[in-house]
Amino acid sequence: MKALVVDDSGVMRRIVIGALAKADITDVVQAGDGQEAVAAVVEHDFDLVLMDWNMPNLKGIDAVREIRAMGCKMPIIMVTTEAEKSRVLEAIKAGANNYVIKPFEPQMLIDKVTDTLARASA
Amino acid sequence: MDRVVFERFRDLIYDRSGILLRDGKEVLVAARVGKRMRSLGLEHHSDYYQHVVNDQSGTELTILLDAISTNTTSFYRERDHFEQMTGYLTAWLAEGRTRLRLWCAASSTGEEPYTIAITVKEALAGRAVDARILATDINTQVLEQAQVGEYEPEKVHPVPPELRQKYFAKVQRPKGTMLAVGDELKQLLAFRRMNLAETPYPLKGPLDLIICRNVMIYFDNTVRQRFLDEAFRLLRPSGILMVGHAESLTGLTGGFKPVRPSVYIKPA
Ligand SMILES: C[S@@+](CC[C@H](N)C(=O)[O-])C[C@H]1O[C@@H](n2cnc3c(N)ncnc32)[C@H](O)[C@@H]1O
Repeated sequence: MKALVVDDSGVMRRIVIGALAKADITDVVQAGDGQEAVAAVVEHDFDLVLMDWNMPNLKGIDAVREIRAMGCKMPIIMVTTEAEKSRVLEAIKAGANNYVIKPFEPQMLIDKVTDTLARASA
Repeated sequence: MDRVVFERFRDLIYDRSGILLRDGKEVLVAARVGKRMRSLGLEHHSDYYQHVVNDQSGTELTILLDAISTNTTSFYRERDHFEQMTGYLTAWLAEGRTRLRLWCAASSTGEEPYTIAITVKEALAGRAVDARILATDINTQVLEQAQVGEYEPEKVHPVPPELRQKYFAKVQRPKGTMLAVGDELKQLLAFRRMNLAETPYPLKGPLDLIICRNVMIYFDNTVRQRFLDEAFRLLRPSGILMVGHAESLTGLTGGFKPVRPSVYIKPA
């Protein structure tokens, strides 16, 4: 199980990575913006992507679109402060599979991850 | 297909993929979109054009480009490239390189990237090196076929028998016996959709070798130049670019130096 954690804040990436570790996901690559995320997806085969929305260079939502346009089907979870329903719908439409609103309890992220992976493999 | 409609398709296809349909390709375009039009229940080419343009999601455009692109390829096509590749790989490994990155930029149904994978595997000869081959194409259908990696035995014929034994396994399918590429080759490869006409490419260099064959013939010089500039940016110094034998890059190669016809090096 290999995961990509995308956030422009290093602190936030550490929090997400810490939560993933509790779900036994320790093979993690980090990216600091959408562009780096797309480049990482070109290079590696990920089983899961956790994607922030507001980042420099390429926004998370556009990175999701690019990743889908490249033909990659791994589950993507948006992890963002964007809380409006319209935003959630926009992300799903772009190709995200699930949505976590910041700030979050680590357990809540773990649950979403487990749930998303279970649905993806079903 | 009438002239005006053809010109519209031609401009759209050029704009979105860099593929240049020369005059006289009306029949080809009409034939290739015909099947799709019937399944949509559309009668006129102009209606289909409208349908493509109206589809905001870009799905129909992808379907159109899939239909238009020519995907001819084969294992060990232009075989001398793979002999030269073996030479470069061997030299790089002798230099002590422990990371190899190769990019096959128009990989079609997979014969070319799997040939590269065999070449890399054989050059590695069991050495533990971090080697990866990226295979990209604009056409989603050929990418899916490539990922499945099953070929009719006749197609695999150009692969030398001992390598065929080593890297392929027989599988029974409804249409008969097929040869399936083994996991040890697949593990080296990542297949991604990428449009060579859209720069900058979402790639992180530095790459050791780029092979881009029999696709630039469909591009005009503007798009060729775009590709070559990106290839130059992404290659490491002393990195290698291989193009098709039929593809002359006269006047376009910028910083590249020719090593032999159709092989270029980025000077160190
Ligand atoms: C004739 S095949 C060549 C395949 C292989 N490189 C070889 O030499 O055997 C051309 C391939 O280029 C792809 N192609 C055409 N336009 C492209 C573009 N703008 N970006 C990426 N791939 C493209 C087509 O889908 C097709 O698979």
